[in-house]
Amino acid sequence: MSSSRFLMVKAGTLALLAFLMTTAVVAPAVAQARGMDQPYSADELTASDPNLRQLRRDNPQLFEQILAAINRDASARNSGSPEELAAASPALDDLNRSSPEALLGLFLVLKGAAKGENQVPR
Amino acid sequence: MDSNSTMMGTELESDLHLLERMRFARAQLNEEICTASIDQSGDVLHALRLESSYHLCEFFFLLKANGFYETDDIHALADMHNRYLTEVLKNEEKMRRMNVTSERLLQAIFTGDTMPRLLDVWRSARGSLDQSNLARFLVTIMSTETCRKLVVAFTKAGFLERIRTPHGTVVIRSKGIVEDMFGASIRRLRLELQSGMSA
Repeated sequence: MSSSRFLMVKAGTLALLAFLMTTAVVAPAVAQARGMDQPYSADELTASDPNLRQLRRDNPQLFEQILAAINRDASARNSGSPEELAAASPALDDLNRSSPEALLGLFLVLKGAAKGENQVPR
Repeated sequence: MDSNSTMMGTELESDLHLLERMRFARAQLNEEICTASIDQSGDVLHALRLESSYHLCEFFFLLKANGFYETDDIHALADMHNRYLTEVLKNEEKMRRMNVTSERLLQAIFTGDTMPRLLDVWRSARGSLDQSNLARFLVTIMSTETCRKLVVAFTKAGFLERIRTPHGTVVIRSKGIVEDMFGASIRRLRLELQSGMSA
């Protein structure tokens, strides 16, 4: 890796970690103010992510499904150690994270789509 | 040794034989991929030897084998991908097993922004994908960074065309080499096992 590329990656990683650490500090405080069991609202969820804002506009039904899925375990989003957060980040997660279950899922997605199947792999 | 334990011994030997052939086929494919690389530098060969490299080859093989290279429209695939990720998002335990977060999965869903570009790029030249959209398809099996690293290595190896568009995105397209090598490896293994079973 060239030195400039390394610095860019490092800067990006540090920025991401800073963001995650902020989230780690802020999220529990917010959660405390709003109650640990209070579900996330659609506005809260979309505030942090442009993709989610887009999804909410384009496919409200799918967005609602996602919101419901996340709220099923709202407390899981409230805190986490720096290690957990780092592990959850796209840039820092395991570079070789594949699982046999995920590989089978991807295989079945391609096979199902090719055959025009309606059933989604589970 | 009674006949029962003899039979179990034979079964076990057959199991071991199958395992050996599977391991051999995989190692042989990896060797072929490394040999076929036009860039023999350590960095590229290191990336090609990663487990994820095999999975990327498999993905391209599955695109070809399932007929997606023969169609201008991959909306069905993107739609199935979106619905699959939605199913995974509903299952916290499954996400934990896959070591993937809801945030990552959400980013990998094709939206009104990303879906048209995916379809347009594919339609303009079958098999072409934005690098970011390739990473979306592979979200459950590798990180975005691993995908980027492999795309760079596969390009240097001569397996992918990698074109930077005026829009600042990177479009990649497989040259068909890894699909052929992967397919040949699977077929060799299948025929070998079939002939062993009939012998």
